[in-house]
Amino acid sequence: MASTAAQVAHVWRRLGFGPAPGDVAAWTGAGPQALAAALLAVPPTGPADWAWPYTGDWTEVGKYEARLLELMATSPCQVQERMAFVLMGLLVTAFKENLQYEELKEHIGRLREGSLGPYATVLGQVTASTAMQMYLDGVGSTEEHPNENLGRELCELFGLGVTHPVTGQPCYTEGDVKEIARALTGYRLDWNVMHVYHDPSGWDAGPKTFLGAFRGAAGLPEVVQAVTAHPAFPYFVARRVYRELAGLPPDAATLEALVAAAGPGVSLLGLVQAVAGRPEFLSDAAIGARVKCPIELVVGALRVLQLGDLERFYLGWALTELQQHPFRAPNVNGWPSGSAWLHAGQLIQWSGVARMLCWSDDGSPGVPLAQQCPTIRALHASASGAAAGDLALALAGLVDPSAATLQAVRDYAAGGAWTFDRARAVMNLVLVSPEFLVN
Amino acid sequence: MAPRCDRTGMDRRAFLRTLGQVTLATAMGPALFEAFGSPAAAAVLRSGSLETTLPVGTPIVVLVTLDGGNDPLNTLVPVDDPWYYDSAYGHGALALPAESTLALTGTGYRLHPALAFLAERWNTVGDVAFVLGVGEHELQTFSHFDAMKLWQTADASLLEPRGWLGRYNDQVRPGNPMASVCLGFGPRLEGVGVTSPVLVVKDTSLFRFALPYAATSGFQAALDHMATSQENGLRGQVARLLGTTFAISDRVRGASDATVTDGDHPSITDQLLQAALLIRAGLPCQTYTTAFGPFDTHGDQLAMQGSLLADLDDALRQFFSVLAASDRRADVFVAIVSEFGRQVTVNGNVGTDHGQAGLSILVGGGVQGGLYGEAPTLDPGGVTRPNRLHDALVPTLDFRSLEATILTRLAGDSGVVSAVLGGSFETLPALPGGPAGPKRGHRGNAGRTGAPGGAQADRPAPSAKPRSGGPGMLPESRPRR
Repeated sequence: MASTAAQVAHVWRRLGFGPAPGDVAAWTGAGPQALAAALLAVPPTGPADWAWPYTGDWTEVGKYEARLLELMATSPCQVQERMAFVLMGLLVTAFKENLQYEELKEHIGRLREGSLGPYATVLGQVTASTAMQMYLDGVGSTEEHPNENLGRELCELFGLGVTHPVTGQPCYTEGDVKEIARALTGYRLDWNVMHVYHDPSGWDAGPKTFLGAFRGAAGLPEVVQAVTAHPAFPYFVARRVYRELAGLPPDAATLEALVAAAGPGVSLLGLVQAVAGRPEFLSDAAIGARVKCPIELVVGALRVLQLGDLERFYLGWALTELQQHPFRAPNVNGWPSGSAWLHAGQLIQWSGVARMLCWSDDGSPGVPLAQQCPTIRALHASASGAAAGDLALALAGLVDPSAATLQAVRDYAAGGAWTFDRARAVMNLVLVSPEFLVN
Repeated sequence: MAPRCDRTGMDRRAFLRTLGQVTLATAMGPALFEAFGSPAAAAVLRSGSLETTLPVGTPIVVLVTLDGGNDPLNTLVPVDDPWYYDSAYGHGALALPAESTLALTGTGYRLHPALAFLAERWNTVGDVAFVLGVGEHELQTFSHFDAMKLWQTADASLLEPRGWLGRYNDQVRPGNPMASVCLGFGPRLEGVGVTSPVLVVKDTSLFRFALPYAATSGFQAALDHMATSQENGLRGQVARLLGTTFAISDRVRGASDATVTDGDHPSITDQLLQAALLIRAGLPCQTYTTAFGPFDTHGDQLAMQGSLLADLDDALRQFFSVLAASDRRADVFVAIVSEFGRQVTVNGNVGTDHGQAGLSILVGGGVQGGLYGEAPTLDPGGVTRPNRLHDALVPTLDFRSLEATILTRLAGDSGVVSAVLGGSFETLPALPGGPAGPKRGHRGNAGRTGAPGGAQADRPAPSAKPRSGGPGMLPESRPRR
């Protein structure tokens, strides 16, 4: 049975991006349920809080990447950040020909704003958005020759799935895909402002039948309405959120409970509350049962190390090398999850990024405050020898490490003079330990 | 898309130098490890008792997946079929004029103009096989992800967590973490097994775990100590993976050769060159996998597919060029597949939507050049297109016949092939069985329907234009596990 501290650390990792120094100790007394309730009670932030840097154009995307990761690591509403990340892997857009930085930035902003609201709402907004219309070829689809791409993925990947998660029944047919493609015609791109608009003259206004009903002269709003009213819709969303947060496959009874809790439109906040309230969420089977994906590694380490001035790290490059840049999903299905990241590539790639982060501050007084690493400075100042190993694990929020890891970190910390170099090497070691690599 | 270096004032190589390391890795499948994950297996590996060099003469496949569903009609172009050019039911605005395409001696087909190397290879060496009408009939899925999983696992239930090449490696090279290599983004499911982890390689020269810049003494020992964890579960698996990574890194990094890989290449060229280095170095691996794309040409297909096929062709040229001086050149063949083809008619974005029957290509050592299988008819059969599946070409050859053909070449032993695929599937004479085992007989109507001209006396008559109807190769039923 996991300790209370381990459960608290688990809540930080699953409802956010892991604990910062002190976060586990601060909540061990109150317990994991109290922590979950507190995290869920934090009001979401909005565009005014995000303070995106002026980036001019796409040549300065590094500033945006740095700010996005900084928000993920430091925003008070960690649940919002976690769910925005879930949506990035669910409502996927990526670089493609003319679909570039500005549109993708707008897309991620939309996901961030909608990440705790009704999923039906954000799905409708995204489906009509410039980024998605460009990514899945909605732009240019004509009445004479409708394009199936957007409608198919709206059904398969964004709203329903191929089969109902509980009944196993097919959610849609190829005939539905063709009819929905007709309904989604008529969208055009204004190249002057890079914005999508609807041109009724290119829209197939004829009667259509899809998803089990006659829909009349349906267009995009009616398609979204039909998808979100489909019996499979809430189950599809509930299963995805449960898998992401609990890391376990849900059974039918669990899904029924989650769907009931999510309510009309499928409230994402309601789903998170329901998942966090499930007893299995804090079970031994759930704790540490997932491999951290690259963004979880990077943001988790930023929280541990409390690093600022992130633009200097070129973390967009790091995420590209780690194969999880927010603008570079491998395909419309997003990134792999969980154990698909369990390969030595992660260990090796991550070892380079972890070292870069840990060695960014040499401990000298001349390092600007924004470029100091408070965690390593505290480690160096507060302990030495084997005790420093214990402290490094605690600062990283790694509770109940294996005997092998505990011994390895203690021995290494005590294996030489206690210098700032050894302090940052100890933290480097902790960040490549198996305990940090699982979530 | 503009190069990323413009965005940050830093190019990728500079960033990698900042990291001081790596882009290669071993990869595990979904929590499957048994032998490999055990401390005992790691000890065996470190003791050097595991096979580290593939004997010369052992067949090797490099499986290249054209992600997204490649259009077969504009790859192997049926220029003699008037339905191909039909504006209402054919490829219309996408149809390639015959004069722009490349001749394939002895056939009624011509090749996409970007595939000059393949055309040259067909016309001179004669070791290119085109497998027509390949697809599946059990799911008839138009979903990328279901179709990919079906191809990758050869299991229509879509529940099988292991790939078909991973299961092969479980049989023939159990526990060897170098038995299954994935180039580029990975691991790919085809190579995932229970006992053989996937080795994911982006760059052989950079396979190095990053050690700290100072206080290095004892760091490696600490990692080794972590790797001795006896824990069950995920943490224990990660711990043991640490140890195995160190055990194989020198072997892999030793294959690197900057004179081969230097320069800026498209990703598929990078991936195939890394594969060539590892093959040349004799890594104990018969199965290399990689993918690139997207071939999901819903829009602007002519430019998009043309650019990708040009990259593929150049990558193949460089790959075989590197291997030309190797004593393994006759062992290596490339298999090019895609999860499905595309619909026949053109959409409003001058692209095509998801289809069914596709085209596979085999090229290289051991390949008997020719056309294999039956071309699906392009004749729609009337205004309701009864000869098509939602405007897609109907498959005539089960994709598992192609996989059985490849496995038979690798294994030379039908018992292994049956065990891997869960039953017997017809094989194509495009690849004879490997040298280690007996050649299998071929049954059904699998066989050549055309062949390259010039080099072979027993070449059958050139195929006419693609036939309508005729017996397909999809079986009435297949044995299931």
